[in-house]
Amino acid sequence: MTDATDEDLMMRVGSGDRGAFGLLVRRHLERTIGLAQRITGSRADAEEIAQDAFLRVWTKAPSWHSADGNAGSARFTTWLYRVIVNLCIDRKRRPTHAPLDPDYDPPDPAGSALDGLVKAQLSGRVAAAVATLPERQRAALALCFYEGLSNREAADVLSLTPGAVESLLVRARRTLRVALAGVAAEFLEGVA
Amino acid sequence: MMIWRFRRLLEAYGANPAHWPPDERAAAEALCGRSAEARAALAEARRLDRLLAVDALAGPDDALTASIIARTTAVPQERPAIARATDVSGWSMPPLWQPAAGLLAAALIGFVVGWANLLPPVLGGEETVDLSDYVGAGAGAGTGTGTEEPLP
Repeated sequence: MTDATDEDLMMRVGSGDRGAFGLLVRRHLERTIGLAQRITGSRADAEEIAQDAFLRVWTKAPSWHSADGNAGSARFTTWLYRVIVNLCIDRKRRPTHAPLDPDYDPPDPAGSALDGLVKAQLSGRVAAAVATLPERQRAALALCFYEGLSNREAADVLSLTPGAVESLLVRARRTLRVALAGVAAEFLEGVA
Repeated sequence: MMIWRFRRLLEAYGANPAHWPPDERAAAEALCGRSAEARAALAEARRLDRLLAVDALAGPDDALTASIIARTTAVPQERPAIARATDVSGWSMPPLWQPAAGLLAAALIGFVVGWANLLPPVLGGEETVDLSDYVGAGAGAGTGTGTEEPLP
């Protein structure tokens, strides 16, 4: 079952198959939390959003139908991303703006040329800069740069045109380039 | 591809050609091969990419995964009550013909009753209606006013 497509798993989940649901969660939870965290700037919010998103997957699965035999998992992931982005935007519309999680401690991937402390500081500054972007720019950046979606896929998730997604990305990266100009010098010294 | 468009691609999608729109990738790479200006812009974009990539996130731990699975599957699924048609998006949609047929039937009955004036004007009153009047007159045709004389 581990090599089943997302849509195959969804059909099983629709029949109440908890094993298939567990596989679907394990397959997509990391990117679900990652996308939500990059948009909301909060790890705690991201985990709650992941819970809500997978609750929708579970409850709606009996109504899931494969529109065509070879749709594969792209359609499921597009739908899942759209659910996540909408949940993030709904959460951001609440009265208080969730700041970057103060307890968030970025990991230090193995094999880095930087020591853990410098890398953690840099990661925190990058995350803080990303958190200042408007949510749509953040969502576009998270989808295209961090998740690797094409502009068309991101446009589908965000219900925008590819051109609009491109504009969001341009504005996001211009802002980040300015915000991180000082950090860039430190970083480049660190990896030199 | 013009250099301005190449710069725009870099500004939007960064230096990784895999992130560029597929229909422009070949032209962008060709420009990069023949233009020093394009290569300089690529190097600049790559610096920002490397910086952004530092922002690594921790993956979910096993406890969180298990918790999400356990809490979610404790909730009942939303099962469709009746067989449903599907739309192109893949999610089932409730069939529209059932409520539409019900409304149409109600409208037809109401029209026929109203047109033929088959009901007595005052329900529970003493007036009565002789249906033979209507049979002879072609189902009323607007003559049934409900004021006929009661039967003796």
